Amino acid sequence: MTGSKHPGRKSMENLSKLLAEDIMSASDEDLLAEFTESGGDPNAEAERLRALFEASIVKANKSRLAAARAGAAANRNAPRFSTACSPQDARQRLRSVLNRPGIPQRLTLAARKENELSDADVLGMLDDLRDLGLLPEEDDLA
Amino acid sequence: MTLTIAERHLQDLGITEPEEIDLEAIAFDAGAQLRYRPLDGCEARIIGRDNQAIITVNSRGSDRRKRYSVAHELGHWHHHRGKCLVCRVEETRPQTALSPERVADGYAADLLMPWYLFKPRARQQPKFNFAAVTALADMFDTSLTATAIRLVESEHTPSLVVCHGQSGRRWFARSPSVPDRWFPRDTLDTESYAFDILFGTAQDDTQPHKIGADAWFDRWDAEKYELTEQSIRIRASEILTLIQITDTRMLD
Repeated sequence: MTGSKHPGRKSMENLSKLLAEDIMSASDEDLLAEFTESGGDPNAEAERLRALFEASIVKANKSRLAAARAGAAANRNAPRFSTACSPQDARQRLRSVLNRPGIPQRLTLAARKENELSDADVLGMLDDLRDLGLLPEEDDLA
Repeated sequence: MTLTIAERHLQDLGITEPEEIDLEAIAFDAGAQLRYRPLDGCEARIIGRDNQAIITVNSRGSDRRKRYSVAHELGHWHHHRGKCLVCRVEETRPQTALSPERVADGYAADLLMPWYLFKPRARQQPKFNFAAVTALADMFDTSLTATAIRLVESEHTPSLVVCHGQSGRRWFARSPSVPDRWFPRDTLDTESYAFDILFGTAQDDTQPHKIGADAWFDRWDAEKYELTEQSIRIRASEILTLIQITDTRMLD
């Protein structure tokens, strides 16, 4: 049905196909010679296409940056809860979480030793561990 | 030019200008959230589980200090995932190239001042001095110290940057083109301009000064050469000195 409405389209498709086949079957030397004969500069054209290609990649990558910015902004505004417990309880909980079987293998940690941390720092670490799903339910004070 | 891991990440995000180095977005893309709160024991920490992490940065630090801390923790996230590291506040730059802190520092430098953005802008600085360092630090939103190290390592000029405290040299960095034999003295020479800034009442140098190389290097042949030095105070009892090797015979 589409063909009957647009009788020229089929012809154009066939022509395009033929031209593409013609280009693909030509040798690199023939193509370069033909391009030069028509007044083109192969090196300049290659540079132009390379720049176009790189610009397309940069543009696509910038959309990933924009998505990351949006994600970070949403995250920044998410509600947070603070752990409320005594300093002794907090230290005990921190030790028990960090020493729980299987946890050290899944954990990345770059911080000071627990005995060098202030009470506020320990509570902050418990907040982070809870948000990462590493505090057991009974410790979840949210 | 081979890209480092940090530079590759920046390019994957289409970052083509220094002001696009948005650390919160970069961290998010890497699976890490940033939080700012007062910390007593250190400047920053990272806690991660599998491929998700939370980086907490001391909110009391300066903005540039906070940026550096985030970039450093992202270095741990990329290089030391699944490991538990105990960090210490170090007075000097870590000496071992493969130490986790040094690796994270290198990642931070690459992320904050990637060579593909830094070198073209460094080349636009006509002179090697603290004015150039300040201009680049403002472009990249980085500290004078970190930027000075980067400029020296960029080979803008054959040079060194040396940090001295009251008790002597704390650390130094040297351009790759400067031979290892040019190793700065442990303590400041009384003839140096830097000495008067650290121990006297002299103000920061506004221009580099010409001086004999033996004021900075304890070698038998140092007295044959001249170089320039320029120092500024970076803390109450700490100064930073740029040394420019102006005599090319020192590079042989």
